[in-house]
Amino acid sequence: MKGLTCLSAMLVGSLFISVPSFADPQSDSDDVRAFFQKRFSNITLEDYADGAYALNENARMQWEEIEEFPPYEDAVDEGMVLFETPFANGKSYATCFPNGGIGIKQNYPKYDTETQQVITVEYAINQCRTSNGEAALPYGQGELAYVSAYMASTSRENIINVVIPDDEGALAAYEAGKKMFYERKGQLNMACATCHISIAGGQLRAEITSPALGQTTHFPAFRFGWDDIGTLQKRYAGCNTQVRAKPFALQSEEYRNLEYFHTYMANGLPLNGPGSRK
Amino acid sequence: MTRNKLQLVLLLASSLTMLTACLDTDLTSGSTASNEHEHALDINTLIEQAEQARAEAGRLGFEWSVTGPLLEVAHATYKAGNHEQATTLFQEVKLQSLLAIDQARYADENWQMLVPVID
Repeated sequence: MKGLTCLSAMLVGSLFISVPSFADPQSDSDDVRAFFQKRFSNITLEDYADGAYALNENARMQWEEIEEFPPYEDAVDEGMVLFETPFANGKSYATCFPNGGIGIKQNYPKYDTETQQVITVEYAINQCRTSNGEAALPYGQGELAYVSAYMASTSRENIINVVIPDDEGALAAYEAGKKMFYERKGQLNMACATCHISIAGGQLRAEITSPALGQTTHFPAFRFGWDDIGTLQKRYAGCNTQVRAKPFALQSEEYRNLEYFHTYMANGLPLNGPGSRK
Repeated sequence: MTRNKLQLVLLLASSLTMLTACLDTDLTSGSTASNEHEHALDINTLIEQAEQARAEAGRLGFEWSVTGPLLEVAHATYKAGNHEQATTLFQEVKLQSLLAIDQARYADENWQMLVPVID
């Protein structure tokens, strides 16, 4: 009898365990916002664009001082020169993007239903180069990051508007990115969500862990640890390495899907990149 | 025999059975026996197993960043002729890779556990 009671309890309990069989991005976004609004009730949605600096007054004051003489300024200037320099065939980056590449970063990553893949700004920059007979550039930092930083600077204050079309491939890419964000990896057995959801706002050594919401707004970013401007996916690889997981290649399908999910969560926030971070 | 005594005897008997089972488990799959078995393996078989496990962890996207460098050290140690040390290193590569494979399986089934819950 006891066994039957236990079995019944387990069956009834299983009815309440919600395991979504397919992605519902808007619902995910609402849940993440509700979670953070409950945890940090004193900050607004827009504040999340400032990452950990929205959570600690002292850190914020230091950051604002740094931003008075932005360490990424030279990279943006160099990016503009590179952006405007024609390729050998006479075309330029402007010919590859809507609106000549100006003020468009808020719409990336986007899902290309023809090629069935997520396209990030950096991926599109290299697609533009190779389709015009130029060599692809390394994705983490250097010239490609400078071009991306310039494009981000022309999109400042624009509101992030990542679209997930009603397309099976797009939803699958989003879901793969979401899964990657929440699954534990590496010798330290930690997920992105461990630091940036579960203990967001807490401390790891001397650093405050930033909330997942809004992390994508300020990339490419000048990080003092890099002593240069670098892309969001360079940071993904760094996070993976810190938990002792072998990172994926930058702009691999895995990281592009992750960026798709991660940026979708920031929809409605203003872009403020490039930014500076410790 | 009273009912209480019978219960006591049955309890002791079942405890002894479980204890014996545990001891048997230790003897057949415990760490000491496992280590002896590993030592007995031909090192080439061990290298193959370690590399296959590492490849599988990589295929699943769960290889640990420390495993590849450790494998390089293991090969270098083997080439230098220190087979005992190399065996230990290859065993560690294999162990890390098997743990990473387990981690991938666990993550696949339980990744939703970190999704924020709204009370």
